[in-house]
Amino acid sequence: MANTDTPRGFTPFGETLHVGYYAVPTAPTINICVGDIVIEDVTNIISKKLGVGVAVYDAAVVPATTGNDRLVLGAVVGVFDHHMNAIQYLAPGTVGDATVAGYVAVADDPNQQFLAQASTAVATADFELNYEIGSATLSAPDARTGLSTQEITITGANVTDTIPIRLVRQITTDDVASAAGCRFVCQINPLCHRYGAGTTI
Amino acid sequence: MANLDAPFGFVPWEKVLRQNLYAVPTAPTIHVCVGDLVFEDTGNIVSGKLGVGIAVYDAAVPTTTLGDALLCLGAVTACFDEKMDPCNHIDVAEAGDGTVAGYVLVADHPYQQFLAQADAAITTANFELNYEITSVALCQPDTRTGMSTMEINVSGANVTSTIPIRLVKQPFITDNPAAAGCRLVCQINPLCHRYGAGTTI
Repeated sequence: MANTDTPRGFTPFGETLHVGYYAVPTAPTINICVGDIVIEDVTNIISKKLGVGVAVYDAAVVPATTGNDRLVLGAVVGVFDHHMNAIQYLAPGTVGDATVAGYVAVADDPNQQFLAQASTAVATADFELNYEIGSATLSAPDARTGLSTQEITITGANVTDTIPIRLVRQITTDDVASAAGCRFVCQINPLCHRYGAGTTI
Repeated sequence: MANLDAPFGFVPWEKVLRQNLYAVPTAPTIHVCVGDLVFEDTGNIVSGKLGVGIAVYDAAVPTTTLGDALLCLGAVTACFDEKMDPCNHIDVAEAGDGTVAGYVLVADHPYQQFLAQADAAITTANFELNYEITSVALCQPDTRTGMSTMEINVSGANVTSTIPIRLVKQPFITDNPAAAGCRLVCQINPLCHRYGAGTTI
């Protein structure tokens, strides 16, 4: 059966091990959607709902090799406005209360497994490597669902410890690994994860 | 009470945090049994049941300090033949479907705890060190049960990051650590684990 090439971000696979809440600073440059891998900003934030804490990086799309400069928090499982009301996603420029645009619930256990699709064919010989994250312009959500369109970028796979995605296995043999859209169970490279890496950034 | 010196491999201790299936390439050189610690092969595989994925290393008995060459996946909790029918263990030279000899279910969370026995007396002063694993020739299973006979190798314990076993505690006070066969709770040194190490091999 041909793959359905429809990126849907990173969805927790199996048990959701831990969820933490994080604030998104006011007027984000990018969209923040359910299924997005989010990374920590180097500047922290004091928000009305959460107090002092780590801010979600929103100045640009998630870098393909996040471990170079920022650590991964996890994948978004819920999005809220600045009143903490559930919403579909945070759009660029959302002002919120002028400090935070809103909040996100993030599956942030460093050993959380996720389901995501590959951007192109996977080379069998490269399966054990670390993989990058691919995002649409401004991390635009799917126009129909409002969900993330992030996916696993196949080009650039390498052993490098700053590359954030580690493949676990192909979810179903109904998918074809030699074409775009094959779905994989994956997790974050622990050295790129805020709660897995020994050194903060 | 004297210890019962009967190696039984590495058995998940308390909650099994997660499990994934992996393919064992055709015609393995070694047996693959329930309780065996298994390692990722540097060559990957496309199997009939799992698609593209990590292959289990089966070319030789895992060396005592495999962290310097291959990363650990975890311990086998079940074996299946090439048709995914449960089997006792995967035998040496098992042809399977010509690509895979069979499949194994592996407790592969990097923080999974295991119960295993020590092959000799434990030196109290060395408890905090990393420990090697030891296997019989060709990872031969127990002739009565078909289960693994791997155990914790006490000699050679060191601080070295490529040594794969980290001891947690002695769970049964009735065991005697001053003799072979003392059962210990342990886990994989994260730097030797596929989902704990930052850099792939």
